[in-house]
Amino acid sequence: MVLDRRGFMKFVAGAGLGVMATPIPWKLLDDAAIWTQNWSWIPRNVKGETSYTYAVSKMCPSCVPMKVRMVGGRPVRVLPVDGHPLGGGVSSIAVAEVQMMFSPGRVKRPLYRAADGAFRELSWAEAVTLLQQKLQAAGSSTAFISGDENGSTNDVLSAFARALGAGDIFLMPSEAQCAARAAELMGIPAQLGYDLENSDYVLAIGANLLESWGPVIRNRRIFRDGRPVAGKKELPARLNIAYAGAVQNNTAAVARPWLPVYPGTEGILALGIANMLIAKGCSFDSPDFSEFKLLAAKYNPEVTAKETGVDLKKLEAVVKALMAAKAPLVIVGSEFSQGSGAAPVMAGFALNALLGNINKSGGVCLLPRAEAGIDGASARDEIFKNDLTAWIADRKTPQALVLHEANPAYALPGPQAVAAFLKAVPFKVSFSTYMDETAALCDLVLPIGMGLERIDDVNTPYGCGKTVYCISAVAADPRADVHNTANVILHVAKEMGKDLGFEYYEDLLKTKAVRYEKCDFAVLAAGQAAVSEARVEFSGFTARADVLAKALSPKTRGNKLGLAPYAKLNLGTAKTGIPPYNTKTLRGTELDGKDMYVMMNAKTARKKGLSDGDMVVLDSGKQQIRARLRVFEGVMMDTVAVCLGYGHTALDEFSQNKGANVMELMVAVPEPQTGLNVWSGTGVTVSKA
Amino acid sequence: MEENKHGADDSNCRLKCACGVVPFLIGAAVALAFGWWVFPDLIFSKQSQPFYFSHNIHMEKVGTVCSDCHSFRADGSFTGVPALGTCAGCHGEIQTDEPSAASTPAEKAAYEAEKFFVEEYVAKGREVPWLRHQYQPDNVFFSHAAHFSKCYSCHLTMKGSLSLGTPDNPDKLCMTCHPSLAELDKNIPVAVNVLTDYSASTMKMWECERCHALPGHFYNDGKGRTAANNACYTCHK
Repeated sequence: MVLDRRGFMKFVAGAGLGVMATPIPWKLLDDAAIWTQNWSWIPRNVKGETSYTYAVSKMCPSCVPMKVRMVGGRPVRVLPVDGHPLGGGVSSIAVAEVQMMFSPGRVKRPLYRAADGAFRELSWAEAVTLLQQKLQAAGSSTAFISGDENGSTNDVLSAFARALGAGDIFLMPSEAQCAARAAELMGIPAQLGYDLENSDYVLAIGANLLESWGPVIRNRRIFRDGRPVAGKKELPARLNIAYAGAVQNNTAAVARPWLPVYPGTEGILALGIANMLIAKGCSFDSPDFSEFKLLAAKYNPEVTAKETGVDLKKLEAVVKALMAAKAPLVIVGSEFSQGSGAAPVMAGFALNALLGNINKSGGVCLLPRAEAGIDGASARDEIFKNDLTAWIADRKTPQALVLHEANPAYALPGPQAVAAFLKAVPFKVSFSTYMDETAALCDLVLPIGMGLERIDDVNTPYGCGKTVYCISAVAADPRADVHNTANVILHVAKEMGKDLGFEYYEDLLKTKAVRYEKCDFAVLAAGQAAVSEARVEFSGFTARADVLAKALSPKTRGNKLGLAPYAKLNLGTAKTGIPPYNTKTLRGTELDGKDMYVMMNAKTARKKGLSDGDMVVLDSGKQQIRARLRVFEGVMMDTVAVCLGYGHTALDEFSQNKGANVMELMVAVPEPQTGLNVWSGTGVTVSKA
Repeated sequence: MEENKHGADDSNCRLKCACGVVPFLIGAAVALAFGWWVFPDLIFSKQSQPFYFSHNIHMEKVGTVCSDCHSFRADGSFTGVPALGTCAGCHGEIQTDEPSAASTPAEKAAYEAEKFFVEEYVAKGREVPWLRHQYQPDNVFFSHAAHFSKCYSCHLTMKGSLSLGTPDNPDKLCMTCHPSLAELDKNIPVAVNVLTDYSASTMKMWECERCHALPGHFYNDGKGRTAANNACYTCHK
């Protein structure tokens, strides 16, 4: 039989039909579909053994403890740590930390500014030599700014400053600084703490407990535990929160009640409440109680309502609830965690003294101050005495400036003036994880590991009700060529012949860890916290009515609207920018393309001839920003609410050129008698763009 | 004669027709043979494990049970293939007696394999690069803990073919998806698809749906949960 053309065609037809009865076409079709899932540019999971390690977030202001899930030695996820005094959940910054290790905004290796103004890479050895030469030349004309108020790196910086004969070391402004200054003025040698855990009624005046005040995750855990639910049914609450502030933020949203007040009037409201409590027979033991009583009497309910805009009936109900509570607590702070000065905190402390809750369960706790771990270094409260904004305003330009995790060119009031100041400093070095606005202005940028990549510590963040000390262990291999700031400074100091007593930062942390009973370094590095219930005796307290009278005098607003900045954790910090992981959490009513929204209520908008969606200009008299208007009834009358965290010009594509930086509008003015600058009472005009 | 002539023509015609079908049948037969016997060997490469491992020796001679090595961690995640540390707990040193002249080839192979494992991996602290027969793709989230607790909670009390084991012997639940290796005394080459890189044992979605898509599984237990939710997000996060 010869295979002719006809026979061949039959063979092919038979083969074709036969193939259809085999797995070939169907398997290839299926595999082709699966093959498209595995193109080389599609990221693949890395398989490996699952393990867990512990760290404390150095990026999140709430210092949240983290349980880090590792797969094959690589961090993949941040989980909450239960049973930790600062824990109970994770924050939206901490949860993004793993992803932020891979941020395109990271400084990957040392950079110096060349003659043409561009950054050039150099080795760590060259960078350290350059740093040493510049600091040697600057000598006592060297200043230091730290953006980490809870870490022991400040001990190293402070000791080095002292060794250089330089006195200028600063921390970035915060609520803790205001409280430290308040305690000092009132004659209280302690760190103010707040025993939220055991309180049954909390009045937060300005302090956004559940978003930006103190250790937020711990605050949220306490609120959650105090408001138990079974399914959808609320069980009897063990904790009630009342909130007074200009914006219906996350705390106001769950507060019962929310008392809308004008921004910057927190201290006056506290004095008004003090007057009502004194009228009900409350008092405290202070040499100037009669002066305080006279001062408070000026803020009778009518005056208080006029100056703060508070609803009197609601206020009276709150005062009644404070009097009836077993463990009442008043916390006064700033809606954006800075710039409110010491006087409102002092007025708040006086309120707590009137309620008799100082050093009592559920009240204000007087905690031992954090001590420095190096001989000659200043303790945290000592450093807080230096006001950074005032120092910059004085323009006493140092020869060298060392910045550690600080971004003053973005985060201080009037960033443009701060940038001008920085440009005038002949040599400035930034130890930074990310190329932020300040690092971009520096002459030398040295990459440091982010929290997961370095060993560091956290010492009693402001707001805690007890002394808490934590070690944050190294959880992951660094994604950049990094060194620890403290180790570099210790090395440079030694090379300059100024031995600070430690060769490595870890040695310093080990000496600190053994100060706590039943704890050693290994235990703390494994994720436990050292806790101390020690209190400082409450004696020698003076209300300082003289200071309060000058610092809290009513201010005329004219035709300006009160500027009410507010902070949201998901927008990151000045150091981090907006974590890429969190961009999906920005609502269309917060950011539309590159335009951010500011908020005011309908009545205020009508007064100004504005309507929802209008492009508006906010003008402080010195600077302007543009934004889109959103009408929202959760804003106090004659107030415009603006969110912090937008308007970055550096960092990465996820943060750059989104909205405007509200700090541009802020005007820092001296707070009478306290030595601090304040910027919480800034007023702005708002007009259609 | 005429009749015979016509008969011969018919016979030739039938033969011609029959011969005409032969190429078609041959073509079909070749395709079927290629498709069913040759193609599988072409599409799947056979990869060998780093060294010989016998489940049978561990279970029959040493007396271990599945969960000694394949267990849930305290957080509920499944260990899968044990890490070196688990094996090193017993194999810090060679456990097998050195083979003698009377030893069987299997005993010699077991000794050589253990010696190789201890010297090359345990002593050097290197994880064994075991090849996995069943690894779900990256786009599938699979939790052993959820399946163990949820499937087991009902099927433990069921009778007959719906029973998936007893508290003393949960292996039947494992065997629903995994082949039984208890009797296995040799390494099975891992068949890997040359196009997709998936192993031949990777479960396909229809296999998951044998349970997930069963209407009987869509009851509500009164707490808003279903026994085997078949929504996309259940497996694809």
